Amino acid sequence: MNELMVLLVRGIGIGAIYALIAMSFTVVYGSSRILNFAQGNFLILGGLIAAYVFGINPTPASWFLVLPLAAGAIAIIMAAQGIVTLWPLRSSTEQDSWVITTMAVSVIIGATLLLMRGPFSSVSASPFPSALIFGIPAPAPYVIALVLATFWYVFLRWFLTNTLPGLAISAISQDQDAARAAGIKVRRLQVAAFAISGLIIGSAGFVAAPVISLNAEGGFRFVVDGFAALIIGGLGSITGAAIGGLILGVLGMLATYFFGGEFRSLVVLLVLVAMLTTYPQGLFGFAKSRTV
Amino acid sequence: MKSLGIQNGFKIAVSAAALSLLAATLPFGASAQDKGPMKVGLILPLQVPSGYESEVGADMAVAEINKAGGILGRQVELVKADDQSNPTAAVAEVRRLIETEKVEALLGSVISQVALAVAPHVVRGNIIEIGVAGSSAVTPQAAPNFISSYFNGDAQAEAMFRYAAEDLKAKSIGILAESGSQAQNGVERLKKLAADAGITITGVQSFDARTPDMTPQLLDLKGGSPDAMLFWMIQQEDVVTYLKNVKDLGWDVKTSASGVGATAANYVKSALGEGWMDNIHGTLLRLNTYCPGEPLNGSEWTSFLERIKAFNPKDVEKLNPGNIIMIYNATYALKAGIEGAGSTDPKAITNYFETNEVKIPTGVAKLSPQAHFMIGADDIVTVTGPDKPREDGLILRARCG
Repeated sequence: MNELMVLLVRGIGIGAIYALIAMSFTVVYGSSRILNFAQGNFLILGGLIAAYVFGINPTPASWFLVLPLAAGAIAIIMAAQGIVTLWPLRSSTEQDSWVITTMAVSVIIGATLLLMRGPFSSVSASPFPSALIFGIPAPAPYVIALVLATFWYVFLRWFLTNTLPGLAISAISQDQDAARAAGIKVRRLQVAAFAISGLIIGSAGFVAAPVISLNAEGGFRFVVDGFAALIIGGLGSITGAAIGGLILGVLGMLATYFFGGEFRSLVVLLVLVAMLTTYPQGLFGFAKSRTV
Repeated sequence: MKSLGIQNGFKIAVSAAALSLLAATLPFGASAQDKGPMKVGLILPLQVPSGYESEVGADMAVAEINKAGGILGRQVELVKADDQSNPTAAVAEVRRLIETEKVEALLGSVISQVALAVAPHVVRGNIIEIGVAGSSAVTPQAAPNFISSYFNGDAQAEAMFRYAAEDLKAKSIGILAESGSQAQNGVERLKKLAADAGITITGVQSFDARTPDMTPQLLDLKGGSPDAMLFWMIQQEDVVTYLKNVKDLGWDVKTSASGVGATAANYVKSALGEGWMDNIHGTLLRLNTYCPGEPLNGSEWTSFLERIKAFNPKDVEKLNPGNIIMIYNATYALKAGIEGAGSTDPKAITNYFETNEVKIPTGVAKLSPQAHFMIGADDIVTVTGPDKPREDGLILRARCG
């Protein structure tokens, strides 16, 4: 077994989960310049639905049936979060109340899970066996996460460039005031962006449930890595989020293998600092001019 | 006059005797009752399973102690605080317990970094702290008022190493350990033990708790072709990840593991099913184990498991008794220490433990001035098949006879 191939395959697999988180971040950020700090909790909620419905005995048919339902449930909750988060911004977009609101939602979800379920982790299993990729066994959640990330990437590219709501969201991301002046229902579309973000993160949590810690605190690590992927790929870019996630996944594997597990976070942070210093807009982000 | 004098003398003697008797009973009598309940702080990471399990252990012990008359005749009242697994938050909470709640003693913490962070405040508050920290860094010099009802990292390392060297006959080992203080201190001890025994260490790797994938660490270690692996983890999820990743790599390696390698058996079974723990051998307290031929249902451990079931029937399937026993032990040690010393003075209590053999639920504790850990290396044994307990809950010791 070629070690580097193993690291590459598994790195891309876990990177696909980071990519999904980063894309979910990007959809909300693009429409409202809000970074949703509750993303990790929604990831866990998606996973808990899988654990609650199936435990470790899912069947492929029922699993495929419940996947969109789980994503839809998280989308509804996240749309509600969007309404609450965007409410204080109705009179002025030049404020940062969203930082507190999204953090508060994160704390509320975490505390509710703790009170309802206690601190214990739930367990979940995939209905599919490991797949062989170039002769390397890859756990099913990694493979499905990669398929899902590809699906959401293609969908978002199509949606944002070929549909009226998508084009309107793109317009909001470029200039919110101009979009409002043009008659676009800004708030409604921003809430819709929260819902789409919920679909992505809910489905990500559902498919990744077997490899993540399904407890009140389990989402934090993934959010940090998803955010790092966002910065590497470029804030606001769907392509950047997807590629950034994959890069981070492989980078983490290689850093651990060559330097040791204790250096994994250090290497990732060094890459992040190097990126912000030399190429602050990220690999696929856009440099913005500032009027003075 | 004379007889009156004799009568008066007799009265004085009787009064003096009565007063002496009263004075002798004061610590257990009037003054104790005047003080009312004894407030004891409980500092734990209540958001993680081990913290919740420790809370159950403390509640259970306090309920039993109060039913039996309390400590020095005073009922015990627990005042709980959540350290959030964060030393900074722990310091704030311990200060609240000492300065606002006026606790007379502290139970917890269960994290070495937390025990070290709160130590100066515990000393300033002049109270005793009995917890479950396992790092060798928690010395009487660093934390003078702290006593651990656990074993230290060195004892754990010795038990793990002994099994790999003597039972698995390993001539080379790989080490995989969590990045926390307890495990990393243990790694240093393992390295020294290996050097002394002439056993080659083919690689050392670490991971963050609850990491989703240990493949890169395992690939690196597998490259060294060790005869056996030493695996030191704290979270039961990490046992599942390890077993899955080892299997994915097609690596058939025997593993000598830390305590959670045995106590996570139920969790592993619920996550992966049967038959995953044949190659992993964790450590347990001796009282939790048996050898063939030993009678059923007679052990203290069996009775302890039954008491847990009666005390917390709701969560009994999820609870790890190995975590419950430790703070349960600490609570009884607190009672023994205060009653032995006759006060809550931390110096008197530590002195009592250093100069006496003290009976606690897990056996007998005798501390040295150099180390305040109640459980020694001899009290820890390696087990086999922790997912297949005997009907009384005991696990088979790997070495019998």
